[in-house]
Amino acid sequence: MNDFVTLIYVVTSIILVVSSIIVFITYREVKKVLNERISAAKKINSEGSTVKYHKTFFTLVNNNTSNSMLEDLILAIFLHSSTFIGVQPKKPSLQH
Amino acid sequence: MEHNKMRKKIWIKGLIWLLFSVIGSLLPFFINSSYLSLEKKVFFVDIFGEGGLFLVSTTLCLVSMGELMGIDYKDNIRIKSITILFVFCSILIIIFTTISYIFTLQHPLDKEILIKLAHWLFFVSAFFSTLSILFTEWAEILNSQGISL
Repeated sequence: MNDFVTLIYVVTSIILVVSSIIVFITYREVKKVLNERISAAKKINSEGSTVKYHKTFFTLVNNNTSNSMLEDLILAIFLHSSTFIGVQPKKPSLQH
Repeated sequence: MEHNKMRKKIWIKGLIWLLFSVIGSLLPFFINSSYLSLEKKVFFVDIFGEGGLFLVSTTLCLVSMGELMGIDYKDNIRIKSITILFVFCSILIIIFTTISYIFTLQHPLDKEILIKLAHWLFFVSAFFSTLSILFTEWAEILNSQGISL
């Protein structure tokens, strides 16, 4: 009887310690991942994904044939897709 | 989801669990002790002598185990492994509480030891089930955000 009680005390103490450590580590990692996402999203919103994407856009256009219809088409796709994913880009100028 | 919102959601879930499950399950014991105290001095043996705490502990662990088993892993191996570990621990605690309950009914001479054990097992199951509930909530948040650890 006493051995059984001792076994219960030992095993349950181990369970408590291990589960507390696991939950604490999980919480820290969840917090870290979420914070990274938030800071990345803030960075995109403040600097403007516009800058990054427009750079890509103009590089793409400059490296290919300079076709105004193509530019308009790509720009329209970009604006629509960025609106769809929740980014609010400034309307870029096509003067380059 | 912002970290503050996540923390608030988890706090609310934890508090609801503590209030309505852990403390709520002790309500019959509180009422019984109040009723007995009107007539005589109340001892722990009078309230917990029949092994009621073991039953409450078993229920708490079973409920949290049910919550754990309802987690959608979405191919997240880490969440799956932790869930399996927690379910295994829950089963261990349930086995201990059930055997202790049988001991309480079959061996009245060992009641002093068993009441101490009942308090310990209740603390363990309450703490562990709260951790399981919190973990379930995190897993749900991770799944909803599409984050894999």
